[in-house]
Amino acid sequence: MWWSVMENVERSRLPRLTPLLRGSRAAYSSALTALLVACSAAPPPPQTAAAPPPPVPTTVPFTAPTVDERALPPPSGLAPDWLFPAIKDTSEANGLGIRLVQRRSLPLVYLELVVKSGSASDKDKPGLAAVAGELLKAGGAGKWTGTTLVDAAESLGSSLEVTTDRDSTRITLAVAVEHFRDALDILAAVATKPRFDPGEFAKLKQREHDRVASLAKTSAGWAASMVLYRRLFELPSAVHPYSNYDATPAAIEAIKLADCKAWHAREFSPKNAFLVVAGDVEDAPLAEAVHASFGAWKGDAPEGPNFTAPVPPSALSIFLVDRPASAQAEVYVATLGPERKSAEWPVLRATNQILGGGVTGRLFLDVREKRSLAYRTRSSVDSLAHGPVPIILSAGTQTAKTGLTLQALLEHFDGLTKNAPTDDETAIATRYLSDVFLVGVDTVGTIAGMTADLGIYGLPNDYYDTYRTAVRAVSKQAVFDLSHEYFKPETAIVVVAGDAARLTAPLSHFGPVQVVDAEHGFVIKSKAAQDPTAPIELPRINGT
Amino acid sequence: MSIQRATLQNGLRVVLNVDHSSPNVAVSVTYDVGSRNEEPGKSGFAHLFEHVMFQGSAHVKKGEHFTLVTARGGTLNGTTSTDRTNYFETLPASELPLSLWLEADRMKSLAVTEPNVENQRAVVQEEYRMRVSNQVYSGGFIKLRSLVFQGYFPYEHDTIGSMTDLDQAKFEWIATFHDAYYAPDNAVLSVAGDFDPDEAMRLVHEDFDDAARRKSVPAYTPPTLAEQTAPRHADVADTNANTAGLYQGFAIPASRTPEHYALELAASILGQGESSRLYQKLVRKDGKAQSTSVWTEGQRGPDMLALRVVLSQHAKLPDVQREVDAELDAFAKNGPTQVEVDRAKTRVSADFLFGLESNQERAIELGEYETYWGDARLLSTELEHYRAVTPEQIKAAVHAYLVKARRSTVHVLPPGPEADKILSGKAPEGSLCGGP
Repeated sequence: MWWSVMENVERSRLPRLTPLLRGSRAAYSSALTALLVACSAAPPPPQTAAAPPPPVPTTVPFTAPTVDERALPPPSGLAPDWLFPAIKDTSEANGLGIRLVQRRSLPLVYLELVVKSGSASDKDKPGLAAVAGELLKAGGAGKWTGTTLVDAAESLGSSLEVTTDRDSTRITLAVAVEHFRDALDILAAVATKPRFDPGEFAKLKQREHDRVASLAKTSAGWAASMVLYRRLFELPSAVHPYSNYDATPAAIEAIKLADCKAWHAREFSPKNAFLVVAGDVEDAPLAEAVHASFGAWKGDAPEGPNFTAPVPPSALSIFLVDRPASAQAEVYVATLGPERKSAEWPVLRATNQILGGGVTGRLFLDVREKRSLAYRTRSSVDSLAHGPVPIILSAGTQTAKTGLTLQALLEHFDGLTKNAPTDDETAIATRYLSDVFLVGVDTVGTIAGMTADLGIYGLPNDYYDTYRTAVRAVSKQAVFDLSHEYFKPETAIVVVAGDAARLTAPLSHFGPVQVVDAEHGFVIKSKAAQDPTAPIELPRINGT
Repeated sequence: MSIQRATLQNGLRVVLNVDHSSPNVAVSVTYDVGSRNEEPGKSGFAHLFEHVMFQGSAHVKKGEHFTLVTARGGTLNGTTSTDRTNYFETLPASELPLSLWLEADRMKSLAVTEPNVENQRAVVQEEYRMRVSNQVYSGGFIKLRSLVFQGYFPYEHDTIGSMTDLDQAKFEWIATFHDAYYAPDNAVLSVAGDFDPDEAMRLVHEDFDDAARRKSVPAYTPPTLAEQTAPRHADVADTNANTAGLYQGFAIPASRTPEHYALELAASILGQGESSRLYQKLVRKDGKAQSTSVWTEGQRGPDMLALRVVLSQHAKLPDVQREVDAELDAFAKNGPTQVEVDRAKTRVSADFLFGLESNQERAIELGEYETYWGDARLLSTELEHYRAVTPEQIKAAVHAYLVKARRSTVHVLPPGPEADKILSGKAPEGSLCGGP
């Protein structure tokens, strides 16, 4: 076990962690990752700016020469002229897209089959895409049972992973290049010939039931995110496709094997999928192997879900997820911003960066480094393929100081509309967002993931290159204007996961409080009216 | 892997690994100090310093380390383990001079002041609440470590330390700890990525040559780890848990010994991946567990092989304990199959390649190898040691080290009657995790 000065150890997106090299780090980083799911955001990605970009500056304002040059930081160098690797797009006759990114530095290949249907396609069965996706592997496929399938994949030195997010289901394998064809056969079997074994389905359902029941009890971040997404995507008389962050135990119970088969038949088709191949592979052998593995796959694209615009609240809403005797409270303040494909995206990324996107953000510098209220505090922007995206400010703090921490987050929530960003803040944020691309592109897994994202969000192949230029052109005025448009306190949703017995009173200082029971279907179990006279700081009990 | 090494006159060891395939460069400084160097009553100092190291130095204002790196498109962090502390940045290739300058400035002139220490003491306490008090099963692992290394203080206490020790730590103690360990002759500077090695060495000399050696040199004199002759057990009540958890741990030989290579492969066969024995048995076949994992800590020595099972909602701890015991007994008696060993080796090879893909990972690993084993080049030959392991060696190592008499077990109990006994003090071997 090791400890880090920041919660999110900045590491490349490794396809797996290495027991050989990492020792116990694997075990502990996975637990941490689970904790962070609620507020993690994809790396910068971007949007092409319509206006012609200004020249890219080569320095930031830290280089004024003085007498003792060694007392000053070295001048900034010219960032390398780097372009995202070329993506070669082809397709099978059945409509399956093939996106090849050749990278020959190591004899490795990363394969990612992306089906453009995720949990947003659950319809009235929350958790269906995640359960059905996992069943593709657990239930066996083609000539393999569930057990022999993972044996086959792990004999190639790889872990077969099926991951489901809001907009996609991704099946991945990372192998040494000599195992490329075997890996492709496994991917094809999982996607096109699942066995849907009833016995394995029953076991999987139990595991999923236990997983979400445990999360409801053990993960403040998960429980808070469940409430946050329900409220952010609330509709008057329908369920928004993005409103289910995850499933409840009752929702898992309601999923039948027939639902999984129907979901697969409806969503898994070559016209709704593409294959990303990154690594040391030639064009012709790839085309031949893909045709052999996927050529017989048939089907039409499904009809997508209806993404009606959510209705924002008209007054500050506070939800308190009860975690009796919790040593710490997780505090979230969120609202909705522009769409992922919007031209405002680079401005939103810069705004988020200034607010709390990293160690130079206002949240880190003030809430952590100045007020010492939290170890982890930040803001993040979620990426969704359709409609407005969540912007989330968060902090973890001791129970006694939860009110103070919420007060700080609310101050910063619309802080950029009162204290406009400075030239330095804007320069630091935009330079970081532009040049951090150069430090995150040294693994084939990262390249494959970024290529897949382009397909999911419908962005052009030169997107990352044009984004770098566009984000450098973002002005402090643009950040100020965007903040005025989206950071409106009356539309903010506050979710706190902590000990309701102690926290209801201090939170009522800010507005009416609804207490949520995460272990019983997220029902509202009590309410408290606003009490502006309630003290926001509590006496500490047993150190919290 | 191209690896060049040098040592400056002040004792700073330098490791360079040039690789032009990505447009960035990673710098890591590994200090040969971790929680193993702490004294009883003064735990958590190494980790506290990891935080203080970002509070400024002679030419870098408080917080400016973050600003300078971020403003040039870089990422950074620091981590502390039992055996070392490291600080690393990855930046666009053009920014190597900045990274070296920053690391040199804090090596030479860190602002060890009372306000900086006080500020970060509070942040570390929040970190403790988040990662221990509020983190399910975390307390169980800390307890396991204390059982496996009972009486061996360097590894008996967890790296984050005791919050009581941290509260009571006097500023002078903390400053003395800094004087003892944070100096060039106790550090390794490693650089990996897209750079010119001659220019890099010129900059290294310019920035680091005037860093002063340590004022005092405390010797690391660990006690002897007494051979365990009877199983050890503890129950831990975890108010964060929804289902019970089981930890087991065994003291094993140091990393990079023949037995350790064999036991790493044994850990892979037992509990890494979905084809592993425990996963197949407890998760897939019996449905008694939500997850299983087996790993080695990778310590300089002695090391620990640890096992964790998170139970399903309806599973019973005694049942799962019996099944784990039976798996370990069968493994010790019969050894692995050739297919299992081949699969474990393939997995290790792939993990090795993928794990060293990024410049940051290579900079960190090279720094650790130079610090731990005296020669970073050993990393290049590491795979050969795994490939040479035979099924018989795995069987012999399991038979020798993963036996009942050497076993430590922690049962993590969710809220309920059994946990209540611990909470009310009626369970002699129990302790409380989570909660207030």
